[in-house]
Order: sequence, then C-alpha cells, then structure tokens
Amino acid sequence: MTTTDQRVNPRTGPGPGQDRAGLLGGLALGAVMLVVALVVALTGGSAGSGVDARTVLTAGGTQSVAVSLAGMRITPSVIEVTRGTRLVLKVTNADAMRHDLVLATGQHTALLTGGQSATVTVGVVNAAIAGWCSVPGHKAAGMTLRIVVAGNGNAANMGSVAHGATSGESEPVIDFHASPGPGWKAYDPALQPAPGATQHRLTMTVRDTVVEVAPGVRQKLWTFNGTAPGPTLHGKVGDVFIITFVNDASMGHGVDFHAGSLSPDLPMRTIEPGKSLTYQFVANYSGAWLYHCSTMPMALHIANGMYGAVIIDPPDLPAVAHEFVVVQSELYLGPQNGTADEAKIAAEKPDAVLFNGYVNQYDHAPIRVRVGQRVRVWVVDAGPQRATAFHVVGAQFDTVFKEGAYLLKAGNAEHGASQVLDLAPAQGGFVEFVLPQAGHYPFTDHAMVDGARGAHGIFQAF
Amino acid sequence: MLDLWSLVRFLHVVGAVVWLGGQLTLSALVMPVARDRLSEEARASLMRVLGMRFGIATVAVLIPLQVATGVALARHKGVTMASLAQPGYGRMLAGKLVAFALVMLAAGLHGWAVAAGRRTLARSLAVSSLAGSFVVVLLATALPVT
Repeated sequence: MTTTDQRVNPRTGPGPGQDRAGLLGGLALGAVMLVVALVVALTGGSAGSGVDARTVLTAGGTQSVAVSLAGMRITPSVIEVTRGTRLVLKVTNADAMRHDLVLATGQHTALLTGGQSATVTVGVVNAAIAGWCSVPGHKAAGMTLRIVVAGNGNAANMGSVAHGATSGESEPVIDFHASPGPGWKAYDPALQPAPGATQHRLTMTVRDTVVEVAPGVRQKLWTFNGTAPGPTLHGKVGDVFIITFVNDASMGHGVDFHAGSLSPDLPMRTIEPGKSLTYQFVANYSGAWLYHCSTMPMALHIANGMYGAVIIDPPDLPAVAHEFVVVQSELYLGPQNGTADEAKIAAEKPDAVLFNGYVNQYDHAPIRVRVGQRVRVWVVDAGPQRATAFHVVGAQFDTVFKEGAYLLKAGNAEHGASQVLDLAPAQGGFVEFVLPQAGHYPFTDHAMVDGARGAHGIFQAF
Repeated sequence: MLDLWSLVRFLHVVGAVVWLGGQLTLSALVMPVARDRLSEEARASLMRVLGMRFGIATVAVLIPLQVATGVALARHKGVTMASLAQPGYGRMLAGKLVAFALVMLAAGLHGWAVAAGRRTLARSLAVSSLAGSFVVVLLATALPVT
C-alpha cells in the first residue's frame, strides 16, 4: 500500500514526508474500505428481474417436472399443464442455503439443505396453484412458482402458450404465518386526544402509494395522506371540520364524511388530478364514523385504501387509560405492486381481512395495555362488503356504544355484559373492558373465516 | 420504549463510541502533543504503552462486547444468514460487517507494524482503521431506515 515504509532508526524522529505518506496511505486505505463496504451494502438488487422460466406440458396423464431452488428463484417459475394432468414435482435445492417448496394446496417439502431433493405429489391439477419458499424473506425475494392450467387442454393450442405475456402479472400469495421484514412498522392504533379547539383544519391529499399489506405483499393503494386507513379525525359534538381535499393521484377521486350532514352535490364531487376542494362539516352527532372515497366504483376505491374514521366523543365521555381505533377492511389482491382486483370484489372473494390495513398486524406488534386498567376500542367497519363481529378473547365488554347509542353501560341493573360488537359495513362504535391478568388476549373478527385470514391481533396485558 | 433491548443497543453504541473516540483521541490529540513535547524515546515508549493498552482493551472487552451485542440485536431483528444476502437491510448490515472486519484487520496489522518498526506503514494502518471506523458508523446510521 505504501511505498515509503522503512525501518526506523530509533535515534531519529520521523520526517514530515514520512508523516504525510502515512496519512495519505491511511486515508487511501480508508477510502478502499468505504468502497468495499458500499459495494457490499448497495449491490445485489437486480436478482429478480428475469423473465419467468416457463415449462409447458402438453401431454396429459402423469407428468414429472424437475424443480430447482437456487439463487432466490424457483426454476421453472411457471408450470403450465393440461387440465386433469397428474403432476409430480422432483424438487432439488441447488443452493448453498436452505430452502423448501410450499404449495397453496398445503403440500410441501421438508426444509432442504444444499443438494437435497424431495418429491411433491401435487395430484390432479384442475386449477391454478401457487407455490413459494417459506424461509422468511425468500418469497419476497422472488422464490415463487405458479402451476397454471392451459385453456382447453387442446394440444393444438399449446404452441401459442409460450408467449410469456403473463410473466409480469404474477399474483402475490399471502403467507399468513410469515413475519414482516425488519424495517416494518405497525399502524399506530392509539386514538390521539381531541384537540382543545372546536375547529379542526386538515389537508387530506390522495396519492398513489405502494404499501405493504402483508409480509412481502405490496399493493399500489390510493391513500389519504399516505396510509390506509387514512388519518383518524377526533373531536367533540358540535366541532367544525374544514378539510382541504387535494387530489395528487393519477385518476379522479372524491371524499364522503359520514360524520356530517350536507348536500353531497358539491363537496362529494369527483375532482381530477391536480385539483382540490374544501369540505366543511359540523359534527352534530357523536359516533364512530366512516369516511371514504365518493368516486364510482366505490367498492374498488374503498378496497384500494380510500377509507378512514372520524371519532366524535359522546358528551361527558370519561377518560380511560387506553383508547384505540381499529378499522376493519377487506383486501382483494391484485398483482404485486398493482391495484385491487375488480373481479374478486365483484365476486365478494377477499384474499384477506385486515385491522388497520395489514394482515395480522397486531400479532406482529401486540398492543400493550395495563392489567386492571380500562381499555376503550373504537371499531369502524370500512368494508367495502363484509360485516364484522369484533371480539376480544378472554375479555367481556361491560360498555358497548354502537351507532350513536349505548347498548350497555358498566354497572347496569341487569348485570349484563357483551361478547361481540357487530357492525355492518360503514357502521361504528366502541367497546370497553378491563383485562384481569397479565397475558396475551387475541382480538379478532369472530366471523371465523375472516378472523383466520388476517383480522386478528393481540392485546398484551402487563 | 425502554426495555432490555434498549440496554443491549445502548451497550453496542457505547462500545462503538469508546472504540472510535479512543482512536480519535490517540491519533488526533495525544500523538501530535507527544511529538511536540516529548523526546523521541519518551514519545515512542508512551505511544507503545498506550497502543498496547488500547489493543488489549479492544481484544479483551470491546470486540467480545460488540460481537455479542451485535449478534443478539441481529437475532432479535430476525436477521438470518440468508437475509444478509438480500438487498436492503441485509446487504447494509453485511457491508457494515465487512467494514468492521477490515477495520479490525487494519488495527491488528497496525500492532504488528509498530512492533516491526515499520513506522509509516503503522501510521497508515492507524489512519485507515480510524477512517474505516467512520465507515462502520455511517452504515450503522443507514440501517434503521432500510
């Protein structure tokens, strides 16, 4: 590295030239370290850009396909079979690190070390099947497989199949057991106190925003101020809300606040990108109110992230130790980084149901509450289509407020309590409870199918 | 939130501060003053003793502390060997580890060069170790946002 190093005579001091050479040499070495470290830190991003490797099987009967796991790819990444084909996969891990192959049908290999092989008998294929590596991060890095069924099973058509036009459309698959990446942050469920003033001014800007909705799954949502749900507005009965609504997205949008009553004609109109409008309403009534995009088709606009809550406290609402807002919505997955799938919305077939916009969000970031302290949870069902049955495992609600009225108050004469807050799409309310002991209290949509596909979280009492 | 992991992170950061600050103090403060004020023999023996003690502290305390707390923090964050290869957080952490290894290599070679009497090389390695330490800190500050 240095050209002037030499043995030092212990009787003589170092000359200034030697000093400078040492300094410059050291700085040069430091620069090399910087470059090496930056190269390691910033490269390696283009691994997933290749076109799908596609294997097409024209004959029916039983077919065996060799599948290789290596370099954060599953090869082939698309296997096209004739309907009714009995498919067997010979899976080999050709990588230094460990991988497996999991199919959406439930079949899977063991975790394979480098060089190991396993056989997966898929069986008769009549519909598309997704596959992936379940090692954390690997699916997101591109380790996915699709088994697709060719149109009619007509061998004469098969020549035109290898066009590869669908390669960019690979639809993400939600792994309900995966964990979010290291940089992930949960949507803050805490309800901020209502500002002292009776007039609330807020700018709400709609933008196209790529958002992670499940581990490794991203959608281009249309968001109010960057998040889905949008910001929660909080005030008291009689407060005035003056909203500047800005459309900074790529298509027309509008907004509808259920918390105020007014003629929809002007404030709820659709405005084009680059335009804005002022939406002013008086919150004459208490409740947990929905707001959402007012542009047709509203099911799509709500499903694609355009919803949020306005909380108007009933008069004399007592303060509690913990106050949260949970907005439930459905997820109709489009392609990775794409927008919601309109066909799935029309068929009312959501891929997942969410609390505050992320699959099993508060399983990954449990909400901490104190044992013995009163907890109030405001719930709004944004839909667009499904109701909710909000339940906290291990808790009983001694206070329930739904759609403007108390159904139940603590200390009632009947000595009654409640187990579920049921809300139709767009309805809202709150429940109160006290957790008796330290522990983990799951909260879920007790419509169990929805609870098992993402509408699930945990209160951690301590 | 102040919890056990805050303490582990605290120890990791303090370890880095002591290592970087110690080098900076020796190179930028003690060394020039010693050169101005002390005879050659006194300077050489002072620097040799200081360097030796700093080296012993590094090997006996700082490296075990940084490795232990660093590994624990990475585990806690769910970092695996495989994820180190992935762009983003993993690569950033891998870059930091490479820089850390190079710095420790330079520091070790510095000790050898001093013992071998190769003064210019020793100075180069000391400066590069200091500069490399800044690279480690730079990548550390880039980590949370990736």
